[in-house]
Amino acid sequence: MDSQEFDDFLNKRHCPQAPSNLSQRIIDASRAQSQQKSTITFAERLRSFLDGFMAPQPAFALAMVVLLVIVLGVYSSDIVATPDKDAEIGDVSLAFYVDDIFGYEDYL
Amino acid sequence: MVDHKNLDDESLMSHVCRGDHQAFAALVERRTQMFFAAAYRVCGNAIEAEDIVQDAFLKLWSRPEAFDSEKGVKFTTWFYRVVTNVGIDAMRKKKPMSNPDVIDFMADNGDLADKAMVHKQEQVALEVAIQDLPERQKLALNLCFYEGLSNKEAAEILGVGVKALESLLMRAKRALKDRFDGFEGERSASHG
Repeated sequence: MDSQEFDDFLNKRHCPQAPSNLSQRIIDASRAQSQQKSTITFAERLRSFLDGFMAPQPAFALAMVVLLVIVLGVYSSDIVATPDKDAEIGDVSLAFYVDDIFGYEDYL
Repeated sequence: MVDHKNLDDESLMSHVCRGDHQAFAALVERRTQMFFAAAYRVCGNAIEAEDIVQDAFLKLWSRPEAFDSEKGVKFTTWFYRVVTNVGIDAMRKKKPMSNPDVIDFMADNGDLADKAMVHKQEQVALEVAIQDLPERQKLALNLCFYEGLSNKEAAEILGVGVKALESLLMRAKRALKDRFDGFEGERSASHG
């Protein structure tokens, strides 16, 4: 087969006609879709919007957890032991502070 | 009162974006046959092609603003992409099976005269061979050869460069030619 013969052969491809009522079916379906859309109440819209947050995708959930950990990490820097606080912890006399206040006789 | 029949596709789309259902209906009536053919060429099955065209038009009706006429893209070029994508999605979801249209066709035409039978067999074999092509080669062939789009338009629809499109088209034609050169050879051997 040369190139022209081959193109003629490709042109033999059969393609059926669309059913005569297909356009009307599509138009009817779009009208039904519009009516369905307009009957959705505000509460349903809100619920569907919130559902997107209530049931997050795993990747989204993981990202939120990581973000939360980072935020907590930044704001909780006060509880990270600093050298001064280490010194306070290391101050053994503080361990006896309670005893200094109460005295042994208070326990008895 | 606007006469929708005299408006071009892009003007109809601007009406559709404002919720004009009559403009949508005019567009559907004008373009259903064209996009049914495009969908049929993607899937090779008339029933599925109907579903594909319907889904594509309903997507358009629910989100007409996705068509941006200011970018200068023709409606038909843009909608070929929508139909093609809906068709590809449908094909990927579908379980692999023989093409029912081809089977029905062969069953219905068993008693045709020899010459007509050969012609029909060729059509069936051609359809099967085209459906067997890799997805992008098949789409390139459909858009350029059967839908008559320019290489630039087809490249835009497939999201590739013009050179890549030409390469896909060339490979598709070569694969089909190799297959049918073999087919012709087998047929002449069996007749000889």
